[in-house]
Amino acid sequence: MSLEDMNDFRLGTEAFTTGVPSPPPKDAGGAKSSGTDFVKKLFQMLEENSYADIVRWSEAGDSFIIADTNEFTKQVLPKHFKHSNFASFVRQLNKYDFHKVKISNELKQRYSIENVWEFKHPEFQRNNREALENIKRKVTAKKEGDTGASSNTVSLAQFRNLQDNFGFLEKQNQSLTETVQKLHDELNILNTKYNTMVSSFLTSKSINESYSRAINVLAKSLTQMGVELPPLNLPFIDQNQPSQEPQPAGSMPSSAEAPPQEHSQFIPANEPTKPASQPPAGTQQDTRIVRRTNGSGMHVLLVEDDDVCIQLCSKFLMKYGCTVEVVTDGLAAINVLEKVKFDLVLMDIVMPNLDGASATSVIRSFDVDTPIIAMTGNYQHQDLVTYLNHGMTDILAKPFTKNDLYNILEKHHIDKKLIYPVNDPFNPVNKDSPPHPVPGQQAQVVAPMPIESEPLQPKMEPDYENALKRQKLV
Amino acid sequence: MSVTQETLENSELINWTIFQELLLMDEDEEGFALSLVQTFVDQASGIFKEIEALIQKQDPSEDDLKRLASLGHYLKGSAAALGLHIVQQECERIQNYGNKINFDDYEPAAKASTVNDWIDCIQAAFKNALDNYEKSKELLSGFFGEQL
Repeated sequence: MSLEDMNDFRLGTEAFTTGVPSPPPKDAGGAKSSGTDFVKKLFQMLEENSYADIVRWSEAGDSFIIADTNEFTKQVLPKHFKHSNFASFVRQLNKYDFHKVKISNELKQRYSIENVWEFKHPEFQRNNREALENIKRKVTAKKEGDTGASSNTVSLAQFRNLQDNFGFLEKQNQSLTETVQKLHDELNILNTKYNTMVSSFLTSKSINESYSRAINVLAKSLTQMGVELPPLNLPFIDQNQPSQEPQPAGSMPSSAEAPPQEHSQFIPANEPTKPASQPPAGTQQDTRIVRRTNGSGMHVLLVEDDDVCIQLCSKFLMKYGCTVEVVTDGLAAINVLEKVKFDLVLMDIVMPNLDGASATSVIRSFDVDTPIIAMTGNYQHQDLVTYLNHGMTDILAKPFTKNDLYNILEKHHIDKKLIYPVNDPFNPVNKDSPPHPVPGQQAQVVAPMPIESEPLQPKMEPDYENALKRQKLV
Repeated sequence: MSVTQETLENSELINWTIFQELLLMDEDEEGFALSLVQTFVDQASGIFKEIEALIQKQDPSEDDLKRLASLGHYLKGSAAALGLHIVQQECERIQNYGNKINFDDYEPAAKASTVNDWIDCIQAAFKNALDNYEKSKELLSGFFGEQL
């Protein structure tokens, strides 16, 4: 009998220390009908009541109390259970489904019974030896556990299979993550290279321009000295010529708009070559504002290579009191925007040297808030998405009417600075009701397009600022 | 031949909504519409010459096709700005054929495989474009009372 106990004990320890499920206990078959020796021994000991001050039945007789665990461990355990390990004893009890009776802290304190343990089992009662037969090791529970496990888990083959699958997925996931990371890095490098390239491109363009001018001057003086020269084909000089002419020729006599118009053309030609490297953002912003045309309500940069469109569009804009500067390709646009702060940029897409979308993505690297509107005849959804991804604020489909243009300005809350012609239907005075876009109303009419607006420019008027805030709220 | 506003309105060559806007601009700047049309005519005649030269080249290259596409696109934009929508459409065909895109289910374009095939397609569109351009020019000359 002691052997079996030892066996029980060993198994118990194993189960608690390693967690490996123990094999079906030996006594499961033979001793099943007669209960088990451990419980009987315990019962016998309690019935004899030879250690009443150490271990005894409770008053009610449905539980037993170990009043002094130290003494119990020292005296009782070695004598009756062949060991002196209180924890093992408790484990044995647990194994037979005994439960510890909780003694509240309050009681413990009141009776100063720190070392008192009380255990009970429904079938473990004083004077009831027969009931002991019903106390079983938690074999059944274990069996339930086993069967439960088999229904919840899978066969070894399936497990292996799943494990393989998991391993495969894990590996795949890892390699995908690595690829994404790699691509991300490469993209960053490419981006840097691209930006560097564009800026060096700009620099070399300015240098070329200055060469062209220098050659032109040389050629002129040579001609004056009577030297005959073959026709020079100087790209930059030539390019400026045709676009510069029509504007002043067709321009209006109105005195209010004449001055800005006159020097509205081609800043790059007038300004000295400037290295493409950008000064710190703060000072840049300031100088960019200072360089604006004075007295302009709305300063607009028109980037367009078609004379007809240039004339028409700048006409539309000037009708609303805007001052307009015109450049004819994306590179020039970048150049000008580095120097001057505009309220709005209208940008064609297909242009020589650098297309509008690419130019915009470069511009966005130093200017995030100026609205850049694409003017394009491409209506394909994919194209439009591309433009927006390049940082363009919105799209104005070509050909557009004055109303289309106005609607876009209104949509982006940049209509406040317009000066309306008296009879214009958009003039707030002429609008029926309510006179000028009320915040809420405006937000309904217009699907909000995010304009990146931080940091707010010092030059911004309060109402424009509010408009931006409003937009964010929407 | 006297061309009135009504003639223009009814002409299928011109998109009246667009063109009317140009005329409204004359209110505060006399002669603006005319000067705009003149700019267009100058520009267009140059481009038509360039297109013609490219089409008639003996051995056109891929680059020539690209150039034709870009010329078509360019002229398309200015024609559209004036509301000359027939010219605009034909220029759009030139642009697309130049990019080897049969965007309007044009039968020869569907069969086109070589550069020369595409040039042939462009040729057809070019003829229409030029034709309509001349007609529009005549119409507008009559309207403005000035030979364009």
